[in-house]
Amino acid sequence: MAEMLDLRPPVRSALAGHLSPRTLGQIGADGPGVRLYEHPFASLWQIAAWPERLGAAAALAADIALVEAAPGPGRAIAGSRATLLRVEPLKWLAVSDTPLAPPRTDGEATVLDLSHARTRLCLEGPARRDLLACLTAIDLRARHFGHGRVATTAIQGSAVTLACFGEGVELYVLRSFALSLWQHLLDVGAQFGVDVVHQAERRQAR
Amino acid sequence: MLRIPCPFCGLRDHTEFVYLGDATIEYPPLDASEEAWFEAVYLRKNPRGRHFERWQHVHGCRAILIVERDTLTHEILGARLAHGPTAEALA
Amino acid sequence: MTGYRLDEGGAIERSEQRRFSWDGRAYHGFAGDTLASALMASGERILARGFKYHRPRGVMAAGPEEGGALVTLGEGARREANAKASQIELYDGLKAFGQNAYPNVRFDLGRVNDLLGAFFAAGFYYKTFFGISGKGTWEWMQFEKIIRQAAGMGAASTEPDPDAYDIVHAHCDVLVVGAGAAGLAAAEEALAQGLDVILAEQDFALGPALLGAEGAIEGEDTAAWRTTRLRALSRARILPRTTAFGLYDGNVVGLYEKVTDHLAKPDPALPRGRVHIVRPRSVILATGAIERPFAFGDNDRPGVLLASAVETYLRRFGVAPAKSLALTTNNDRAYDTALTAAKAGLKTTLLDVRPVPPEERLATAKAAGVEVFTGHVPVRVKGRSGVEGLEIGTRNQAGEVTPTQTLYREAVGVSGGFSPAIHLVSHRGVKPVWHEEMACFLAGTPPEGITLTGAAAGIFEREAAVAHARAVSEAEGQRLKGRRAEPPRTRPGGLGRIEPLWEVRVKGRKLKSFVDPQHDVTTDDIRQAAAEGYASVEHMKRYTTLGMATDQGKTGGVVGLALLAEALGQSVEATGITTFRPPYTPVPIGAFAGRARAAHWRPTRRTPMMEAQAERGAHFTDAGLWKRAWWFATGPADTLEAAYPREAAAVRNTVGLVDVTTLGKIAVQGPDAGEFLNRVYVNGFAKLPIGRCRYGVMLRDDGLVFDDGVTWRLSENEYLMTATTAHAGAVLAWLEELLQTRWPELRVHVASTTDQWAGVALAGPRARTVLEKAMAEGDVSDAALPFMGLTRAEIAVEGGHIPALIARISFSGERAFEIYVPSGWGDALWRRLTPLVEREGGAAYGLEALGTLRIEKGHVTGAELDGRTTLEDAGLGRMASTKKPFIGAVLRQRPALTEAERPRLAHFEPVTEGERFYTGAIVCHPERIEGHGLGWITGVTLSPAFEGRWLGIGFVAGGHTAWADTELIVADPVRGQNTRVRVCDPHRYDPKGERMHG
Repeated sequence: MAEMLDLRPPVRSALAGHLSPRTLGQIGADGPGVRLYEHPFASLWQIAAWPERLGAAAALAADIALVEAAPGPGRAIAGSRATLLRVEPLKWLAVSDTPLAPPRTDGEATVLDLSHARTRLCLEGPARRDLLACLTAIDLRARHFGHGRVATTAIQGSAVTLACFGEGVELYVLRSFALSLWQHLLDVGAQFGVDVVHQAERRQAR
Repeated sequence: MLRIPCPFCGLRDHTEFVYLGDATIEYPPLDASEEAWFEAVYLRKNPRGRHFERWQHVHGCRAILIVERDTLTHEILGARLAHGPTAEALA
Repeated sequence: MTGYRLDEGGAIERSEQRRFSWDGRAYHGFAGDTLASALMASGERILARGFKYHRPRGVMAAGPEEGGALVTLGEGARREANAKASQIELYDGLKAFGQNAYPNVRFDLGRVNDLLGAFFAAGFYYKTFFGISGKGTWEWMQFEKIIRQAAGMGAASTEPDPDAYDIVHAHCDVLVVGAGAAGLAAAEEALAQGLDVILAEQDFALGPALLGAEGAIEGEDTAAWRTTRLRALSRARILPRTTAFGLYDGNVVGLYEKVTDHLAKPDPALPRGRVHIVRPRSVILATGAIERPFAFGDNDRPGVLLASAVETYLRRFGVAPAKSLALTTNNDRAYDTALTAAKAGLKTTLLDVRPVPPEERLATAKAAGVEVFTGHVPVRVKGRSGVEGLEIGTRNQAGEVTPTQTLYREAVGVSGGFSPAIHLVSHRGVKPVWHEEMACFLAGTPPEGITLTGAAAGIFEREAAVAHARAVSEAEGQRLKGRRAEPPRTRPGGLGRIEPLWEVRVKGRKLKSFVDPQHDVTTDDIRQAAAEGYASVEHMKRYTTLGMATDQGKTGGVVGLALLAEALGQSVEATGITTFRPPYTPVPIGAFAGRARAAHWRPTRRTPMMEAQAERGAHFTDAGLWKRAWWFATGPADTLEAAYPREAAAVRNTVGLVDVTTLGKIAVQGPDAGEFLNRVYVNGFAKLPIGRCRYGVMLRDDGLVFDDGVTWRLSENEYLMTATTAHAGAVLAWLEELLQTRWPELRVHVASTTDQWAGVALAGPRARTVLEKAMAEGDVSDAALPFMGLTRAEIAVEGGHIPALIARISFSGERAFEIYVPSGWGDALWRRLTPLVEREGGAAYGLEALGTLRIEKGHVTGAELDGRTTLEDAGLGRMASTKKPFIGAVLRQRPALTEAERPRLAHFEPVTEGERFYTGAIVCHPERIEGHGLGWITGVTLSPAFEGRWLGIGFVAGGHTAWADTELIVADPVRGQNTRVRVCDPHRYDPKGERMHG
């Protein structure tokens, strides 16, 4: 498996050609209102449970991510191997920055490779919730959508999964919609002052 | 704006959902009589007041819900998952 | 004389001058001014011309109820008509213009209409629809143009709105609408309970009515009280310049915030305005009340204002409308105004219709030097271009008025009572209830989560309003915390004893008395409507257009219906009030579009190959939300018409490459997946072997075709279903519905994988050669990959190998392969295959050539499967299994769906070579070229496979066999052409499939 993966050419970003660092709008003395970057992942697997074996599937998901217990509705947990997001009544997403081997299920669940179906956009900065409030109708107030919360909602008419970690919000967007949404974020975000940064820089800064 | 309490996602605007029609209709077996199918597909009541409807949370968790709505006041009185086994598993 | 700035006073910054222009001339005012106050201070009185009669108009109010001073703001694309001068915050560089006047509002040729008043009475416009007596419609249409020119308001810009708007979603515990004393108190109380509060105020100042006000609230000096509240509210979200325009189901409130209108040089990144859609758990309406006038002769002259407006201009803006003032009232409120005016040095006279006003009020007024006439009313204003005097008279118990004298005063302030602003709660269907004692409509019982307080609830006394607001807020806070709380009692009052008065009439005198100055509706118009039988208030409104102008009858509405009630001899209560509907005040239409315009009017879906295709000269077309390559230009002179037959011919002769990423792809997984597909598709899927594909058609419950596509069996429990681009979303939702509601016992999961896979079709005799050259690993020989087979392979691209799923499927009728790779490598796949295809003499092809190929082959698409088509109509009847039931199996057998005479799929060929016809044309019998004919054309192409002739596909009654020997006509009434055609078998291109299988 490992040799095969080495043969793989680089995955091309859906935003290729649009990621160059720049600022939009006015950047105040306190810095930009919003920091925006793409943070692609290596693997995204969907784990789907059978209703009467929900616990078994949860255990399987927890094993994949290396967490104690798989998260419940509307929750996300970052494990040492992958981050688990509970996105549907019977489904989790396992997201990892390193390639995940196809999980063994033993019939307790179905798994589906969606690593190329989505990408991840990250929003940071004090105005991140204000910007998102221009795009989605869900309640983004900190006490309703704080650390470890997940919600899938409509943005621009397509479904986007939002996850809140620390001071940032991650947007899991369908690949075909990604550039359209990226441009929308920049256009609406300019009023708050947007800093488009490289993901690598961000991860160093953390 | 109707607001629907999705049992999985919480209270959401109805614009995230798609209306799927009367939830009290029982669809007959695939090989049932033409009369049974005709009734299920075409005949609808237009009740005044409380009514059960199917709504799918297409821009959310994709679950199909049975929503109780007052057709007179637009008040949403409750919502549950249509898929019985899943509802049980989450309970 | 006209208005002037007082030497002192007002909540304006006299050190901060604001320069603006009015009708091209330079003026200045101060920070904190409105356009109305600045113009009044500059001595400008005529600011507008009336809608129909072009009578001069000036400032009448100090808020959204303004009925006189309608102006046009800005120029070019930013020109905004019918702005209310009394709501426009002054800023440096503001440009305002008079409107509905030629050459200008001070000297307007249209004023001649005033003399023709009889022709413009109520219902005039409707009556003329019947035609001018003795003449026809043509004459009316000419006449109408002139009327439309003469009567009207400002002209909106016809250019696209250059500004951006945002739609912002908000959630909170408590939304307080209105930041008057009651609103501030309610918000403060809610905040003190730890609740999340939004406070919206339409004015640019919070507590606008408290500005310049005297007295104390809760024992604190008014100005200090206001400051204390604002400090306490620093943790709330406060939105000034924000109007709540509508209250909707679920107590969702629409707010419109003006973001940049008041800024001289706004940040270009800011939107002009924001629509806030607020979802509060509790709405407290502290929207105040709007004073209403009563009607008397020429009461529309510049210089006639609402009494409360006079007070606002004096106190808040330090502006007097004139040196002398006559106030006229039927309640206690105007006494306060009289004191303010007298103190500001105006010669002040007060007419009280009540013969015996409260003694204490009377004494205070007199002591302040106010001249008071009790039992008196105004009869008629003197002066044409503005108030010069006021004829007054006595009014007896029976309401009879006897003119007595003329007072030479230069401004008039009118108070006929107040209308609580109950518009928002009315939007929720709460009926207004007439309160006899207060002579106003109050809100009926609102639904849970909405409360009214302050003047909006009829509580006019400030101290009582503040106490009520605190109690309401406290009770709502308790309710939100799940505790029982008794809402406070509401005791309307605070205006003293009101003597209802709607109009001053003098026997034998003809007065022109206005009810709705914006639409030039007079008291006579209302009586005429009643006389002509418009007895319902809703009918009267539409007939006279009362309350249909930009102020929506905020001042005149109640006066009009009271006059209607009087004319009909019934009570105001029985007459009722017209329904209030959103928006409360006008909202720019662009604000409701928000960002959904131009490039963002809907999202765009892109395939990973789009960039590479664009580099190859691709032109794109919309397919739903997707952009799809339409055709590939070989040079600047190339055209669609030249390109697509060339691309299609390449597929037939050598090889072509097309992007099929947009096809819907659905993972169907689980032990019952095969059984599930077997129920969904009309044909059998239970025995589809692993590593094989099958074309399937699914019906709806009603037996008509829903969608089609190829489904691949990847492993024991895993299938990959493809659906048409157009129906991909609907098919997934349908599968979910079936699994969640009809067959809950099936162990199947479905999920969209459309975005996971990028796909191409490689089609043509040389397709295999190209594919083999591109592969690093795998076998696509006939033996390993027969028709409808499926295999995995590795494609060698620059930088490595990419995994591919390859199916031997053909949409074109040629030997063809569909190759899917994870979409992050879609670009690499396209770039790898294109040069190989070109080296074989082939070409990339677009959607247009794809259409050509499928028309030639007789394959159906969304154009044919339009929701009216049966399997048999589409020529697919043989596919339906007789061995198993499936969705739609029963209802498809209904007689009307099985008639042999139904339109069936067919090919159409012009008899005369070179003639063409178009999609959408109707197929007719040569002797009956009429009506719906025998069928219709769904697609037309120039066909390389059929000797380069035009070829159509579509439907004809009975199918091609019924017309084997008969020429038909393709009729195109839109283009005015009829084309003789032969009807042919749609499946005549390579009928045995030798090219596909070979």
